[in-house]
Amino acid sequence: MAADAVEHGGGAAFDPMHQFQVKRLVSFDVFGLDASFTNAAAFMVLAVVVISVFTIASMSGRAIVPGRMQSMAELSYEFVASMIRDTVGNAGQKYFPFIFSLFMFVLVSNMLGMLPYSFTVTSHIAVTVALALVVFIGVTVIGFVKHGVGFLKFFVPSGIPKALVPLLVVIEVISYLTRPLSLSVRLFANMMAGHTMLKVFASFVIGLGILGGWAPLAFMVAFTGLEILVAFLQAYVFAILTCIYLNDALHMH
Amino acid sequence: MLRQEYGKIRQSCTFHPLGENSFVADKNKRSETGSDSKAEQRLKSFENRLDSLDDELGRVRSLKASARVQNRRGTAMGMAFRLVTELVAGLAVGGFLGWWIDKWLGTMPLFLLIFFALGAAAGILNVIRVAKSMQTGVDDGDDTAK
Repeated sequence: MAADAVEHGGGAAFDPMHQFQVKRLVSFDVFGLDASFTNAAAFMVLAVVVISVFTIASMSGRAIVPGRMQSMAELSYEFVASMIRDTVGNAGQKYFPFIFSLFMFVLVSNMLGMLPYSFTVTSHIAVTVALALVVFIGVTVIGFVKHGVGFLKFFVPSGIPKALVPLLVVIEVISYLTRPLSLSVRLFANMMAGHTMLKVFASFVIGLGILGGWAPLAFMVAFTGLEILVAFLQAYVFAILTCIYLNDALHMH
Repeated sequence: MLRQEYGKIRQSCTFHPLGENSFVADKNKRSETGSDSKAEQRLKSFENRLDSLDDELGRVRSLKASARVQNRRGTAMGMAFRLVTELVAGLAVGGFLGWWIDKWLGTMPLFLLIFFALGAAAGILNVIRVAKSMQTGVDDGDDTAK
């Protein structure tokens, strides 16, 4: 009886951060490095499988008048294609496969996280930083390949007095270096805050019982809808910022 | 009804999702051929249908453009969150760079303080840029409304 009470009061029953715990499913040890297959890795694999099955299976018919599934696949294609056309222009179409994969991976990871008992891969800063660094390093390399050393002119703002150039170059470089950080923090913080809030309000429902629990339950239903919107919006923001950075690297202005 | 039309026309033109003028090119090609009256009539009706489809497409495009502006504005919370992350990221990167240079040169608080200020400047610069881009998004919306 006492042990039971301790267990209920001792955080195990009410721990909104419990959902973010990474657990080892299969332990691997590669030369002293912990390369275990965790639940995070499992959900990343699941996201890739879902995307592959969705795009390949729905486009396998190649009907002239698309059905429901094919419409969805074509819609996601057109969505990303028009996003690239609007922000980067025709020069960006070479990078369509990368941005489409990135957008779909973030979107499907966010959406899988909305399922009960699932794990939200994008709520871990390690994952979002890895994605953001791929974008950041890739875009910087593209900039240097396209413009050579001239890409460094990107950090020199035009139309300023000579005396201010060193100061402003440092500020511009710092502002450029903030890109991967703000890109990754935005996605990670949005996902983590939303999921924590859902858990906290779920505990209110239990805590207030059958009489008072309806108010937080109603709020939770509305908030789940908002979370689905946020899941989509954050994937969109991630992809469109990648496009904007790509545009800066390709056209330099 | 529209779905069938779309299917027919899609069958008759090569459809490029990324091209803008695929329909126009096909129309010109069609008007060169067609000698007898029946074929001409069919061509006329086809062209009429193409024109109506063009109108429809134009309507859909303008709708999409306004939706895009709406999308770019996003929710107010999203906008606020974006600005805050830009500001905090500037401070964090500036502070980290300063700390790293200090550790390297052994001049502990000097560069940390300088780069913290520079990072704040960079963060504010980013915030101004993002806010400006949000502003142009709103202006675009007003243009399409006219």
